Formats: sequence, C-alpha cells, structure tokens
Amino acid sequence: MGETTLEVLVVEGDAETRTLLVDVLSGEGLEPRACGTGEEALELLRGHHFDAMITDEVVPGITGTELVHRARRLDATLHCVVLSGYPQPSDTDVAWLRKPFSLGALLGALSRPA
Amino acid sequence: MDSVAWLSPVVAGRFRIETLERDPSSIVAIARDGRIGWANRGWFSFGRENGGTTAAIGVGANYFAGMCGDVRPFFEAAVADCIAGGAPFELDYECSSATVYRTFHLRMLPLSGEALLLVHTLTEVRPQDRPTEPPDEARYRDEFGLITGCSNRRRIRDPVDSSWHWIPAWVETMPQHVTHVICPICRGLYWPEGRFHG
Repeated sequence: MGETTLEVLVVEGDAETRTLLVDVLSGEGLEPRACGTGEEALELLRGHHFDAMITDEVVPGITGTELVHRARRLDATLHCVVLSGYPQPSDTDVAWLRKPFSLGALLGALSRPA
Repeated sequence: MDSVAWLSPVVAGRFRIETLERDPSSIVAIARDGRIGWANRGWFSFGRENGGTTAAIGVGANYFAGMCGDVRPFFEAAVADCIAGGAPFELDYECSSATVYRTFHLRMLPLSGEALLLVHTLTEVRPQDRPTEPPDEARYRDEFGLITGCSNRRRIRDPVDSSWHWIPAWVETMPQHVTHVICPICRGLYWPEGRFHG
C-alpha cells in the first residue's frame, strides 16, 4: 500500500499567490487543489473529500471564517486554516495563520494537533 | 578573549581585506550561530547611521539579534543552509523607512564549514512616494471589489499594471476589504524559489 498523501484545498483569490501556494505544497509532497472563490470551494468540497483546507480570510463572495463554518457542515472532520494579514478576531476559534508567513509556519499549521 | 577571533583570519585567508574595506557594501562575516567575527567599514557606517551601537553591530554581537518576526528564522535557516550546502545564496530585499525607499542585494558566501560572509549592496535609494491625499479607492479595487496589499511591506497593487504603490494614508488606516498577499519582492524573502524544493 502506497503512502497517504495529504489532499489540501487551497482557496485564494489572488492568482499569483494561489499558484505559489500550490507550487510549494506540491514541492513538499502534498496534493493541493486550488480555487479562487468561496463558492468554487464549496462546490469542490461537495464532490470530493479533502484532508485539509487553507483559505484566505478575504476571498471573493465570502469570508474565510464563514467558508470554514460552511465547509465543516459538509465535512466535520475537515482541518481548516485561515490565512490573513489581519489579527485573529477574538470571537473565532479557527486555526489562524497571520501573513506574511514562512513555509515552515504553513506546514506547521496544516499539521493536526496531536 | 573574543570567542569568534578565529573568524578574522579565515576572512583574510579567502579575500584581500583592503579590497573588502574599500567596498561600499556592508560586509560582515558571521559564525554559524550568528556571532559577528569581522566586518568592513561599510558595515559599521551603515549600522551607525541606523542607530546601531558598537555593542549591537561589532565583533561578538549577534547578526540575527536585530531581526524580528519571521525574518529571523528565515535568515537563520538561510545561513545554516548556505553553510551546510557550501553554495552561495542571493536575495533581493527592501529595507525602507517611512521617508526613504531602499533595496539591497544580499550575497551569502560560505567561508568554511562554520562561517560565511554576507555582502549587502545598496541597489536603489530614493525618497518614498508620498501623495498628500488618499487616492481614489475605486482605482485600486479589482473586479470583486477587493484591494490587494502586500502583507509584509504594505504596498498596494495597482490592478491595471500590477505595479506596487506606497500609500502612506493607507498604512495608517487601511480601507475596507483589503486582501493580503506576498508581493514579488517579499516572495524572495519568505518563499525563496528552490530553497524548499529538494
């Protein structure tokens, strides 16, 4: 039986950043799939199981935080990380990674807590 | 006795010291752990011009000590990789103040299995663009109504030609609906191509 590859949905409105994230995650042996809007993300999540989702907080059509809540209604086990240039609001409990971040920080955030 | 005294002869063994001293770049030799073992006049001039004391920038001080946030672990990793790999590492980066825009080219040259030479060369310096009035937000909003800003150096992307603009009024108070990215200059700092791949 082969190795299990982490399938990650990348939700990022900026095309260059989206490509960058896909490239570096692929380079780390993960299997990323990307889209640019919240609606596209929900459509992908309805049709496919992902192990994790990383989403920008400011994406077209929805906030990243709201996307996480809607995504977890589809898959309660989905590990989600919100990427944002803003500090984490005190009333959210989602995993939050402040931009700018290093690849090490991103990979750390994608690792589920033990 | 300075515990990094061994580094100065290592530099002298690889380079002509008088040539390094005449170079207007800021040149500093550090041990693997960041301790400074030798530096040229350009390094001390630049350091003092930016408020550095001898204790902070002289022999024995730690090169990484003045860095904060993700910049420090990035540079620590880059130095470790450069020493371990034995190959030079190069990077363009911006180090601006509120009034002066400056970019530098950094070369890391491994000296031995335990040290390297860092050469910081000023590549551009000019006054910051300082428009007096906040610009028209609509000009910077994309098809989704979002403004794109660099999360590191706070510049704003012009959606028409993808140039990056310094807008002081928005550094103070960001408009609504700003999406943060890492601009091409900062990408080299946070996500250097090739560094994490194989």
